[in-house]
Amino acid sequence: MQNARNDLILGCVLSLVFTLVCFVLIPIGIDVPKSHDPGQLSPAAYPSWIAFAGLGASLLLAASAALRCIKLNALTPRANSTVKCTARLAGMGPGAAGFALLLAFYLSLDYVGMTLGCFLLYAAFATLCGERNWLRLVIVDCILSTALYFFFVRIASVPVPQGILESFL
Amino acid sequence: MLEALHQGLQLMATTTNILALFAGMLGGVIVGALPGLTGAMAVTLALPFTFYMSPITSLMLLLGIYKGSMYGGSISAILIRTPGTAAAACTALDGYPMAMRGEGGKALHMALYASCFADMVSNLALIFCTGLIASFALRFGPAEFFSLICFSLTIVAGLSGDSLLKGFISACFGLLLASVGMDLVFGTSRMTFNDINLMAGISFIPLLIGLFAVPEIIKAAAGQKQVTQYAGVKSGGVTWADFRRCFPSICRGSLIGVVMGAVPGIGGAPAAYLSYSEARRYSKRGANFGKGELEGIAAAEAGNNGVCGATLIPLLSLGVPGDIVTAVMLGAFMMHNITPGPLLFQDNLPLVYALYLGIMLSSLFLLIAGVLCLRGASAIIKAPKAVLFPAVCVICLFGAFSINNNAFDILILIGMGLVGCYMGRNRIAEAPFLVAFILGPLFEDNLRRSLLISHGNLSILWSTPICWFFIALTVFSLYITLRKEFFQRKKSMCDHAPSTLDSFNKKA
Repeated sequence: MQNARNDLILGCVLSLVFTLVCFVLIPIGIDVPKSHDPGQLSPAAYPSWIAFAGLGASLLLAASAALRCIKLNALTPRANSTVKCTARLAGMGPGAAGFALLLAFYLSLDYVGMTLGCFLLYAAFATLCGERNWLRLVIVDCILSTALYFFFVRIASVPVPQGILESFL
Repeated sequence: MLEALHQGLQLMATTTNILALFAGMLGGVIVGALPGLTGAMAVTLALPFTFYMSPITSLMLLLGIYKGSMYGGSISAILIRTPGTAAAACTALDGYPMAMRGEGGKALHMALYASCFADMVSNLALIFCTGLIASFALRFGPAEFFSLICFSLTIVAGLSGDSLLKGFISACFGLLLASVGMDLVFGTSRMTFNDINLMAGISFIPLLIGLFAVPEIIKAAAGQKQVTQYAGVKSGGVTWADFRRCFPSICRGSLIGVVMGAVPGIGGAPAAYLSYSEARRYSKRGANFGKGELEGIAAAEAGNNGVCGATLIPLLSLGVPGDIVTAVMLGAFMMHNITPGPLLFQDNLPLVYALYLGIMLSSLFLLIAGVLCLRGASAIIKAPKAVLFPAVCVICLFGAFSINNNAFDILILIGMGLVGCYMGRNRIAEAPFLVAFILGPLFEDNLRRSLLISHGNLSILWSTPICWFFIALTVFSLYITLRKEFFQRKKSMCDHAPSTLDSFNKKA
């Protein structure tokens, strides 16, 4: 029952996304020339075909899930979904924190720099993953950051942004 | 000819050449195992160093790096679900579930043996069938390419997991995302919204890492990841019975790799997926594919490494590079005043023989370098998850940045990580998305080029016997897959119906 309901929500969300692509993103985001040779497909043609195919499949997914929901509703009593939903939301917290850390790393990249940013990100992620051996954390963090710096910056000559450490490194 | 062979042997059999090949192989395996670092990048980095070497030494070094990196991608794909290369993403489908079950060692060993065998088949094809395969590859125009890609896209049906519909939606999403960037015919922008970072399209490696590695890292952070009991890499070897069972898939994968590698512009990833899909279709254990099946790993790795030697066929015989790595190798040839093509076999036959001998030796060195690296890999799998996953995250970020030296790729990685988490939560297979993203540009380009040539006449798409052959294969492949899906669904409905009714009756 829960699976059917999830598929229904998924089908609706995907239909919405593909509708947005078909009717908003493609018309606005693709420059179509006014006239062209019959052999030259318009730049919008191919993405439109794909988006419409995706929309059709999403609607089909939503419809089949809705049918399954109706059938199963008639057979099984309604389960207490509030408890499950609360537990699911509680489990999402650390995951959201992980993404927030990654986003913070990206946004502060120019200022903090890649090497220092990765040093801080490692420490934060390791703590989030449950690392409580601080000495090991610091040692691994230092070795990893130094190794990455030497490999990418010194050997591979990748122009990594160094941020506030620019003058030191 | 014998004199040329003797000269070739003399040219090749020096300590420097053998060391260069082995060092390249070892370095290639390590680089391939690091997420975000590709074989192309490693070969490009090594190119300036080869300027001072003799032609054969420099080619051995580059060849070693290329082949090593092709295999190396499977190590991180199996152990931490972070494919080092695009082709290794297919290996992760079965490799990671096996590692989670404590059979990481077995998976790694099978990947190594399948890679070495396929590499050897590919090398033999290069040596003995160059002329034949090159003439076949030359017949491929846009219409033939289009029909080949159509056939390759049927892989999606076999990789969709529980739901064919979800797999199709996943593929549509991949095709759509692959169409972002500049339009190749008109030169106008498509869904870039004037953002310069999107003009060249979405980078593949950050997308790959985001889709596969980030959800695993986030799971580790969220504490959802079980503390797995990995078997020791040394202890979990492959038995003779295992190898014999997987042997047909390895042979099939090697041949698929050879054919797809010889056609310029295809690459290892489609070959790996096609080999995997075919193995799933013909295997008695097809239902276990995607849940940790050894045969799946063997097929994917055979397809992937079968490409290595074959990509050199158009390079050596026609002077046409098959992929980015062979394009860089073409540069290495040019640097030493050697022009690959038909004249190479007339003017530099000893060099060609020396190259062939080195190529044959590379399969053996791949085995040795692989075994050495597997010993190192055991240290990775014994590391605590609180140390391992943050380290993988940091390496992935550096790797993603270094692809284009662009911070925007990190944003793509994070975005694709979110998409990967959403897909995982809703049981949508990532593989169709990835296959579609890889094949999408080839599919569209060849369709549009065909239509340009024929001034919009669609009949060009079935104008030659090669087109008919691949169209027939596409139809056959779709028919078999849909039929199998239909019967499986019918069977599962029959199995579920009585149990649902029973439970309902009990409750009543």
